[in-house]
Amino acid sequence: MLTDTVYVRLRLVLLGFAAVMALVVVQLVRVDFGSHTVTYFRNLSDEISQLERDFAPSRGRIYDRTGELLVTNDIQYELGISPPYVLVPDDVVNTLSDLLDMSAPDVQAAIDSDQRYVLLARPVSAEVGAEIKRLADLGDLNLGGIDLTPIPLRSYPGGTLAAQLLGFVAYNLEGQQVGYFGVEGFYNELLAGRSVHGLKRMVPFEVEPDPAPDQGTDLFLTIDRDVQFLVEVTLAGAIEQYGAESGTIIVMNPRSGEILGMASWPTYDPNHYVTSPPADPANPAVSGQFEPGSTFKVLTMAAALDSGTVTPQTPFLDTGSIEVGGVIINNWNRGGWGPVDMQGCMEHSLNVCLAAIATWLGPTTFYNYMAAFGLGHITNVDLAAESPGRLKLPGDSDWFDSDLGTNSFGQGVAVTPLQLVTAVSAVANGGTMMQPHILAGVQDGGSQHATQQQVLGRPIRPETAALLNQMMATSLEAGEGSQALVPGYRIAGKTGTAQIPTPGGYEPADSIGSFIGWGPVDDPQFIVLVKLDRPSTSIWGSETAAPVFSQLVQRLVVLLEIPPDDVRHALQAGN
Amino acid sequence: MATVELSQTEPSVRKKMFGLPIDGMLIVVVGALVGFGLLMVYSTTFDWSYQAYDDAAYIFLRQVGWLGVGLIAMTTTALMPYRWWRRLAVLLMGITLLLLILVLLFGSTRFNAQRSFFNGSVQPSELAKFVTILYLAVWLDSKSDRLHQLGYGIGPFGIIVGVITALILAQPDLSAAATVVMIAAILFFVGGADILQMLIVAIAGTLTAVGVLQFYDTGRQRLSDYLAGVQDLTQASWHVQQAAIAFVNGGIFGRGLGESHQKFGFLPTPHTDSIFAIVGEELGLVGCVLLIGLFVALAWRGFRIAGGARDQLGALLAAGIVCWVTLEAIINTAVMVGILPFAGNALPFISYGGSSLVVNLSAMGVLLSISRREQRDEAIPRRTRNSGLLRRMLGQERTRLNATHDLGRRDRRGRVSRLVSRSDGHS
Repeated sequence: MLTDTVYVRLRLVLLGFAAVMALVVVQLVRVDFGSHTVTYFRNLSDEISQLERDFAPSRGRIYDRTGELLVTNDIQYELGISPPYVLVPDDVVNTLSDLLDMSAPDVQAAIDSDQRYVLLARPVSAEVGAEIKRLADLGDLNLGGIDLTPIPLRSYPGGTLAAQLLGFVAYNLEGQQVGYFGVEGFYNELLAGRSVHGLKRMVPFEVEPDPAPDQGTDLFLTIDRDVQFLVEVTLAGAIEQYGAESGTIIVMNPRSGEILGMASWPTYDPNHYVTSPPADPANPAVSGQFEPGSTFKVLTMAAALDSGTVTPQTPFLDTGSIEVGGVIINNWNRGGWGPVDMQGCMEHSLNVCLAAIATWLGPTTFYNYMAAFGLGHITNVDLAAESPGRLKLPGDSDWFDSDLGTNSFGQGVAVTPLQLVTAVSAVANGGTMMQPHILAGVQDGGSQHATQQQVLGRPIRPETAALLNQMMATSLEAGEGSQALVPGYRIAGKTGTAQIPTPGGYEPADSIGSFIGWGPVDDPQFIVLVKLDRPSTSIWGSETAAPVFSQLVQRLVVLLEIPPDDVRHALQAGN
Repeated sequence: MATVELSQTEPSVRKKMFGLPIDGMLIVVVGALVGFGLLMVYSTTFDWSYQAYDDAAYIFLRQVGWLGVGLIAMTTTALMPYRWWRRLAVLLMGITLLLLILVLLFGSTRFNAQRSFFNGSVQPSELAKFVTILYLAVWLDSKSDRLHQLGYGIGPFGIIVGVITALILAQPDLSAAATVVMIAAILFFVGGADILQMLIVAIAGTLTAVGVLQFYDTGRQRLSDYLAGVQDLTQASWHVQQAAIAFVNGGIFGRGLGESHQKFGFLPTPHTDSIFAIVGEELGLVGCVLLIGLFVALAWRGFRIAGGARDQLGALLAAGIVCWVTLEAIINTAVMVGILPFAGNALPFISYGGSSLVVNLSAMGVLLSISRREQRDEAIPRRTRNSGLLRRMLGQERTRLNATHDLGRRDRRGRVSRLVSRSDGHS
């Protein structure tokens, strides 16, 4: 009878099944109580259910001295897929392949993954993120399973404005925001705040509030956005007008060391440093070294006056050449000026005269003064990647007796633009160099701190500074630097035309034209360096940098609200 | 006639439950499983249900809806004389084959496979398993005399199973295809195939399995994962490792109902294939053993019903159904603990899923329908004590039962007359 067979065989099958079920139970007990498996799987459980990560605060914002926003934070998105929550794969695939630079099969592959989260794109712009959210809210499409995680984006509303000064922010290998160059680089730790290392728990039952990290500090800079803009516009115009390759302009307050504006060309947009990276992200105003040329004569003259070696009236017979340490030095026009005094030497920018002064000073005194002006050392300005320049000293292997002569008019010595401005600011500020700085103050939570102004050094006596101040103003009025003059304001300053050193000599044709000037002479409130590299219209600083200076200062005095000298004197007399 | 007295007092208790003399114990077991399942479905779906539909109970309520459909289906199949399947089997098989073809043409794609209609709610392969059992039981029953003729026995059997398996493989759904083959083989064996035939089936099955594994990367991957995991669970596939974490964290008594951590995205498909691991995590070893105990009880009831079936078709149907449900439960749980290679079998009654629940409950209805005879035939000795006398009795019983049954269904005149007619029949 077949039914018997069914019964007997069914019993056989079910007994087999019972055996397997018993095996399942045995295996369950093994899993639960085998010490090897328990340890392994408990550890694995901890590993996957909590993620160690840094909770970074939002980065501090950066403002100018008047509170205008220069750098802030925006968001962009990390876009991922949670496959279990994808309900209508076609909608997700179509939407994402439309909005992102991504093929439909790639999106489909992510949806088909057995992972619980698949990273699709990072970063995704705020616009694309907003569009996805809009589509999801419309309800026509089911975009369940698309995860948009906001991630911070550093935003520079001014675009290229003050780019090199500010630096930029990038993600390091750990995915943290790190500032590079400029203020972002120098004050990275302050801006970043203190991120807290903690556990991100992935199980809803165990979720705790994210640890609250210390917020990044907001910075207020000494620069004025309007001055900065003026500086950049003027520089861009000058580059164009004189066919220069690059250039730098610095505006500083010699009384306080506050940098009011600082720009270099070419520049870049820190918002797009990834897509269009700058050729040189560093800030040439503090990182770039150059041989200053004649602007350096101010420092040589300051040393000579301060040490009592000369007075403005000390006579000198310029024969057109002088030999120092076996090297013949000529004037810029290769002519001899005949009998002049020190005022004349500066007016006509006589290399021979300055070389002679240096020999009168002697190497020890000369280099002591140069060191006192901070040459060869970083100024300690609060900007990243500052260069120290190069001042060869007697005793250095590459220092020769002839260097004393060439150094006196700015050859064979390398400075950064800011170094030169700082050194010369001593003349404008009664013999005292103020510490150049960019940070005006910080705001951290509810408390504010203003930066204390510091004295960097007093390389010359106040009397020397006053004397030289007048000398430089007079020489400007009488000499070949007349294009730098500013109507209504008495300005002191010096042009420079520097040859560009190459290994073993100098470039034959190109030069760096520069002008450093300050004013108003009786109460200096700004010191400006204009430096144009390889201008093609003229090699002479007097014909390129000097008119740019004038053009800049005419507008600068308006922004800084400095009345013309006669008005100012009238006001002071009235008081 | 003492037996008649017994049969009247004993079923009277059961009558209170359903008004029908059926296997009440089976109803209790299935009810417990379904209740257990609903708890676990809510526990495993509230999170993603809330995230996807803004309503923690949305998925759960869908399952409750399917339960309603399933209960209607179960009641229908329970009330329907199981012999009707004889005529319905061919029709159902035709519909199933049509559905399997349609799903390949128009179905929605999930997890790289085209298995379901309406975004995953309806999977014809679940139906195919059940219909295969119905069809094979009917076929075996009708061909039992000639089953032992080698070619006759194996040929049609192979073709039926082969076509269904091929259609399911084309989706592709390896697990469902393998399940169909195993069920068919078991039914063939239980239905009286001789050793040689079984040997041929075994060889053919093995060769097919090997061939299939050459074609499907998932299959090969799963097999190699399995071989690594069987030796050392810490080397098992990611899925099995995640399940192991659930079991380990559950320990003996579990974290507590609803407290699973693994269901939050760590363990894949926590509400369907992996639900057993969540049981282990939330209710611990105790919960797992209890659940397995319920399946053992189910198998036990099914075995009793098969043994008590009053004809060969009933026995074959009951055997097929009980083997199928138990096999699914075994595969699902064994996979979760890593002693079987990975397969996507749902845990009957527990896993979320409409087609699985409805089809399983329909099958339970068929079991109840078979058991209904058994309850009325309390006097019938066990099959082991079968005799020629019994067979004659069975013959008598058949006509009588049909009469009462027809009376009960067509005529709602009340119980008194039915009881009268019954006692008439007995006397």
